[in-house]
Amino acid sequence: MDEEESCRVLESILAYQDLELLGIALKYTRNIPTELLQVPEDERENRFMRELLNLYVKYIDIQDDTKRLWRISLCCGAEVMAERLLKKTEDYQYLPQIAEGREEVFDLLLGVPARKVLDEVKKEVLYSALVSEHWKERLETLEQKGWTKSSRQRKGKIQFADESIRRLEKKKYASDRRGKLEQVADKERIRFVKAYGQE
Amino acid sequence: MLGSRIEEQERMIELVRQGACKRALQEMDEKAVQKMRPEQVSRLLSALIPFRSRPAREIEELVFQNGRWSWTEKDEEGFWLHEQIIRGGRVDMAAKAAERIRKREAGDSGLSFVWAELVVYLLDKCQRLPARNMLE
Repeated sequence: MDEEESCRVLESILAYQDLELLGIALKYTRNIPTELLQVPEDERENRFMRELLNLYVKYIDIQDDTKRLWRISLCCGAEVMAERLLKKTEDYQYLPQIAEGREEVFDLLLGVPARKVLDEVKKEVLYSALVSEHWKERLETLEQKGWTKSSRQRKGKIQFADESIRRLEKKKYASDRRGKLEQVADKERIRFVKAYGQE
Repeated sequence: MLGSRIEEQERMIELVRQGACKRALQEMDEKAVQKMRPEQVSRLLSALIPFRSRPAREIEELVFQNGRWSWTEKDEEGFWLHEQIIRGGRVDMAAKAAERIRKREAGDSGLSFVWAELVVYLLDKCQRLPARNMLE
């Protein structure tokens, strides 16, 4: 079977979203070309892509199109693929999105030595953690792991409070109940960050 | 003797082509199908594509169970057998034919393009089981 034929078969299986069939096909195709992987658009596609990227991580050549793989992995929260990408590429520009991601994805941050990350990136990571759903726990964990310490000045702290407050205050909210709840949660975030800045 | 047998087989194909499936069925049995050459079986299957009557389906069953067909036989318009099945929208025929073209044999006999197109077609039509069997 030539490459074009196997690509067509794999494409159909991916469109059909069947992991079992994919597993059978991979016994002889041995590879999933990155261009066949689509950014998921709904919850079903999201779940399928997450399972695929976590299960068949070895069959995907990460050198193919790293940017695309990062985008898809972070979009669907595929922690195994994201971990592999992080290890192989050390693309720290994606750390803020990791901080905002699913719990399993967020846990990847704990394996990154904070001292190796630039202060600017750390600021973004802290802000992303702040705007995530489980922000209190995440910020606490990051603090314990040294993400609030400056890499430039020893014993110095990352100053992210003012900027975070500014960004949160600029946020626009929907006029429905959900928007109101979001606004209340953000006010709590601002109070928390203000207290952090005064420490 | 052989000549008359071939003539007889060609007559059957012609009957099916003309839509006289009931008459063809009356004159056809397992042995007659087994004795047909692969090119003839292909032409017989090709002739059956437009028909979905009960006698036509019975002939199909006879052919799928007893016949050996050639995938490389083309029709007058130059379409391969599997292309004719797909063009005719015969998912049921594709699923039955698929049982006889597994991955390994397809690769060995240079029929991987037929195999791939049938898998894609079956998946497109949500025929998971035959597609799965083909992939195995």
